[in-house]
Amino acid sequence: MNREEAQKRVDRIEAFRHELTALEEQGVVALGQDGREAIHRHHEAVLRELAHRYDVDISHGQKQMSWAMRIVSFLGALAISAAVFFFFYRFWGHLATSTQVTVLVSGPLLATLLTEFAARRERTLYFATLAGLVAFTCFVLNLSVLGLIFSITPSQNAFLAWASFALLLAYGYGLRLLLAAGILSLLGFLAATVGTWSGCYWISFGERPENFIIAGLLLLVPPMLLRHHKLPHFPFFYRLFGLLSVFIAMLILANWGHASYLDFPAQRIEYLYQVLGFGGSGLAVWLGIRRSWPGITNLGATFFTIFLYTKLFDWWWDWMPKYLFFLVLGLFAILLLVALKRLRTAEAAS
Amino acid sequence: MNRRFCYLLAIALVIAANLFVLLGVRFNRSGPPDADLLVTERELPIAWRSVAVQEDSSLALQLEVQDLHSSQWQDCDKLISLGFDCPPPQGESRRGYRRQPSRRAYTVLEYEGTAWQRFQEETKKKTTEVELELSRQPEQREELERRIIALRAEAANSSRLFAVDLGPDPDILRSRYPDRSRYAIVPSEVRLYQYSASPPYSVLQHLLVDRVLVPRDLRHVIEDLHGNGFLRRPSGEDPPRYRVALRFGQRHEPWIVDLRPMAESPPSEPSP
Repeated sequence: MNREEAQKRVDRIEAFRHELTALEEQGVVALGQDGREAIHRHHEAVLRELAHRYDVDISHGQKQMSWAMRIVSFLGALAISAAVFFFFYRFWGHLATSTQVTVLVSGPLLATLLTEFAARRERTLYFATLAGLVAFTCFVLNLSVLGLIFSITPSQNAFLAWASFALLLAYGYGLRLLLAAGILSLLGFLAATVGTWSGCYWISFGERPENFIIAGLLLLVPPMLLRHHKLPHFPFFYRLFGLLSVFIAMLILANWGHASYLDFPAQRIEYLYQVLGFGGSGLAVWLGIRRSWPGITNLGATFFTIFLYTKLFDWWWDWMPKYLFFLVLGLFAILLLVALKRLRTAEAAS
Repeated sequence: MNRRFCYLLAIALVIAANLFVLLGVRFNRSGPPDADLLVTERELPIAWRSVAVQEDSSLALQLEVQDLHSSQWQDCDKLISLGFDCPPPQGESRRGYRRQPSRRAYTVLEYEGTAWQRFQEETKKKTTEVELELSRQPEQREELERRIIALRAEAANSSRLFAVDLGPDPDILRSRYPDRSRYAIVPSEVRLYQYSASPPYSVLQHLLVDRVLVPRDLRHVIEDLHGNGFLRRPSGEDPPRYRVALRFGQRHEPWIVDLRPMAESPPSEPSP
């Protein structure tokens, strides 16, 4: 059992207690005093054990505090990373080159050691998250500043190194923020590499949104190939960032066909990506419902709505009075709601 | 994944990535240099900063190169060798021509060569023309005098480093420009610039490395020039204040080997 599974068990116990109380109040079931106390004693022992072993939240208040701590550790990591960055820039000009290199190399090493130390001392991993993000920032600073010091020609392989480092820390300690950093770096590397397939120099990879469509689709592959038994929440992040990358790129191409690789008139390219955008986001909604991936359903529904609204804007913004335009938008929202409600009902029936 | 394994692998990755980078630097700086240029503040002025001086203590010099943004080629061979479609097919739109993706290339930089002489002659000719115009139209004195000052400042201050050629293979370029004290070959990104159905074809070049950091033991030369005002760039007809021995290595990446005030005699042989 890991911490996540332990937390699920705690949540189940809490839900069971609420439901039992409701059933007793409605007279559906009546447990004897002995039975009730036996269950209570057993649950209390389980909760104590789980709290001791995994430091899980066993009350509503603790859960709220945990969320606050997650937010604070993220903001703290951002602030400390910025502090490291500006501290180095403020003093590096006064250091000899060898000292600069030593400081740059030792930064990510020390922060990684600190991550391990924090993870050993605290099972909730708030401090490990903070130290891990600082280690990632130090490594980004490390390679990019070495490039400046020695006037090195930039390479997309730096993205791969950053992605590998962040993913190692993310998988090693189960840190979601590091996973997000690793996936974003990997997305940069994949998009740049896809860009070079057309003969383009990698630095210009951002000029062709299709690079991000292929990179985003490639990001959907790891959760299919790797089993995430111990880290069941990790595949969601791959799907989220992969589909975000695909849909944002499609949205750009649906409105600005000039940026495409395709050798067709821009308007035809825009039509193509509008159709693909509608189809893709609809498919995400369907897949999310079918595979019980609520985040993907929401993402698909959001992009379906954005595609629809941008299309309506293109068609009717100049032509219609503004009140009528927004009224039509509202009517479309109602239509979408009805369609989603039917899907929901069909899902419940199945 | 095993926590200990990931943690040790992360540490090994940091060490390996740094070793890879530093070995690359060592390779660049080993063996005979690809080029040794002795330039001045005109070609390597102090680089502009994106943050305040007190927030960034480094001191960098910026490579100033002329003709980088508007190089024109009379034939298609050069562009085809870089991977571009040329000439544009009949009926191809302006967009179709310019939307070809950028390519990795090498740019030849010429120092105080024929391109610089041509530039000097053109500037001189323009100055003479404006002076002539001034004698004919004294009522426009103010504007014409301003133009003369600008032209003189350009002749006195502008970089003598010109982008004169480009290609995909640095060795072929070096065999064409063997003088290593006058020609440097640097990595660049090239894109088609202006639509043209017939020659000349315009390209836009962007140097991949256009800044060099001043090492700590040499930065006092620049700091001593004008005390606290050392970051100021020369203006008008101010002469350059320092000269720099700039070396390009095996990977065509530059570094500063010597930096001294103009008043001092230049180094005959830059020390490694």
